[in-house]
Amino acid sequence: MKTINIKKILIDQDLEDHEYTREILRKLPSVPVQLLSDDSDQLNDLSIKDGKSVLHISSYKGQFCKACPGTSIQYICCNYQIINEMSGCPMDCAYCILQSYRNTRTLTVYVNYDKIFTEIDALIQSFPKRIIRIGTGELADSMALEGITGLTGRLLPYFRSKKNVFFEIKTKTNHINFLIKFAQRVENIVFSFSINPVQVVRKYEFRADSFTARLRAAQKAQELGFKLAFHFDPVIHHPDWKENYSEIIAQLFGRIESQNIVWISIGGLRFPTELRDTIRERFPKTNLIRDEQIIGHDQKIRYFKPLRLEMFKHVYSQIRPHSTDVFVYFCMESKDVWQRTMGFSPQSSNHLDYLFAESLYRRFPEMNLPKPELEYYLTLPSKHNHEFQQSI
Amino acid sequence: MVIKNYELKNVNITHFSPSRGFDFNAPGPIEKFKSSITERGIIYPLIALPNEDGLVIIDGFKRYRVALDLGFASIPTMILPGSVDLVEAIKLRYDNLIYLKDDLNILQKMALYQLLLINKAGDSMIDWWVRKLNLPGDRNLLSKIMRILAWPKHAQIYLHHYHVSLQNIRALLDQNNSTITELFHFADTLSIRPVELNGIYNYCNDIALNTNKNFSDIIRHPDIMAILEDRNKNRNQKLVAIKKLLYQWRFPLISHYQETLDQKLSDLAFPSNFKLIYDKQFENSELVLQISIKNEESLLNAMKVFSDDKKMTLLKSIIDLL
Repeated sequence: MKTINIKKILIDQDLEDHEYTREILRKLPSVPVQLLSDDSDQLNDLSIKDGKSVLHISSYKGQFCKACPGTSIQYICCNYQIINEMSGCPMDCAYCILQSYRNTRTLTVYVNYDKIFTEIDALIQSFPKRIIRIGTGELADSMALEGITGLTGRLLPYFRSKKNVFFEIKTKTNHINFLIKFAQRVENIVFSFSINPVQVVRKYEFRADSFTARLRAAQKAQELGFKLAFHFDPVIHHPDWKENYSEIIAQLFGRIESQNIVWISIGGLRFPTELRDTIRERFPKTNLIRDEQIIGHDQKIRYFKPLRLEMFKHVYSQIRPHSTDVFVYFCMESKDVWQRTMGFSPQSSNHLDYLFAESLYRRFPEMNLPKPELEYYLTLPSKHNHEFQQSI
Repeated sequence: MVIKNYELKNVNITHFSPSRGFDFNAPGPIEKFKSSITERGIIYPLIALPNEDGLVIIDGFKRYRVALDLGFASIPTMILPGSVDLVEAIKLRYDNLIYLKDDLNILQKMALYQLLLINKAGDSMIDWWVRKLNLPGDRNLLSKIMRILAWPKHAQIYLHHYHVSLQNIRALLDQNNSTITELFHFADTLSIRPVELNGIYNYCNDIALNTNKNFSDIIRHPDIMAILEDRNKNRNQKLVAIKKLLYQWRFPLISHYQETLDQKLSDLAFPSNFKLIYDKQFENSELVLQISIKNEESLLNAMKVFSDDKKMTLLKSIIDLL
């Protein structure tokens, strides 16, 4: 990733003397600091671009760990759990959802991150037989600010000891070196990389690391014993997309052993309708928003289904010859798309959760994971389980 | 705000400062005011603030222009005391405008913002107004929005007429004046409202970029011009036809699927009491069949359709397309 240029640090007034605040300040000794009072409206006036060079040290009032916000029961979600340990990102992907949210313009780090441990302990206790997949990187890149915050390094030792939990660290950077010192007993730690062809990275993923740099980082993580995951998400339609996706998949499996890959996701470009105007304004010439797109069941703009199917079938068909075993799934797609691409479909989000668990249990016997039972998974409370939604 | 110690008098028309600073009105014609003022004179006095150049009009620009046109020597004017500063004058002007509408349109807001800049208002005052007017806090963006003050006259009249908000012109801020000119001429031709115009603009712009053409090539395309000139179509029919055409150009693949499916549905030649409905966005993969049964005969006829192998094969191919 290009050098992070923090121009200003804002600190919530009551956190000035917090130990973690001081630690961050020591790493940025020459950056101007300003204390924020409760009624300050400084954060509201920042443009998306300006916000990317402002570090805000704050505390998080809500719950850090949540179910991934899949928003439609017509699309199947995998019941993933997310940790919003930070918000905001110094990279500037043209399609990034964070552009929609005013409260993610600054790079915000929460000093009270230790609440995460309590929340996850409670989650594990509630579902002792469940294999839980949980990860950072939803509202921030997990590794982009690691050199300043060291936050993933603080979370990692905790997760290493959690037997039935896979902790996923998602990034578009090659900032793997920060975690080398933790490279012991990391069998349940998953380094995951969002990947796209060189042409897409160059055109839409501004300030992110190149595909090659990410792949090298993945290789390094593999050597250190971490597990890996890859996300073809968002798959983007562009000239020569077929050849370009074939190329990166071939490169990926040329360097990475498939038995080290826990899962691979495929998801087409999608974004809320209101983000279209922001993209149009920030990137007037971009063709991201000018393709054959429709408004899906979740009110998000996505590629027209026949186009999605063509792209998904191709990506899937390029992955399978390299590994028949690696778990490949769709992020927020309909049963129809699953069926037509992979020849089968999970029946529900809970069923997909079970299929994940079954794959992990079968592929990694050395981890002594609890044997997944279909009935158990189908009855788990799920954000995407319609009956559950009605009962809350 | 209570203004005390103002002076009410007939002011020589040459004593007004020609600054348009506070003029947030539409730059439109003043003819309709002329007859009234010719007949009854100026009933409501102008409001003006003295400065070193003379009297700056705060309220009453149209009356002033009519008076100039009609050759009046003087105009009744309420002259604010020198103790009223710029901030109070702007508030007074704002209050007068907001009295007529709930919110200012984007052109009025930007004129007010420009006035603050011209008068070198301090940062805190500008910030206060930016929040009050619900404008974006980003100064660079505000500079960009200020370009609308230089838009052609007919575009500005449109913004006033439809009381357009920022949201509806945000996509236009990077466009040059020739595109703006063409777009608002097009809007005037079919009396297109802002939300609809925004959609049409986005389609034209997307098509132009997708096909490496200019905006003008799209909006003045011979097919569009033919629809506009079609004497057999009324305004609504023209608008529907243009929107359909733009949709086909903007989404050629989706349009192709829709046309193919519509053709296949038509080939089915189902009886008139059959209605087949599909999701035009192809996100739902189901075909909904509605059959209206009025009597035994129509029931029997309907059942016959399902035993027609040719029709059933065709129907299956339609379902596969979805």
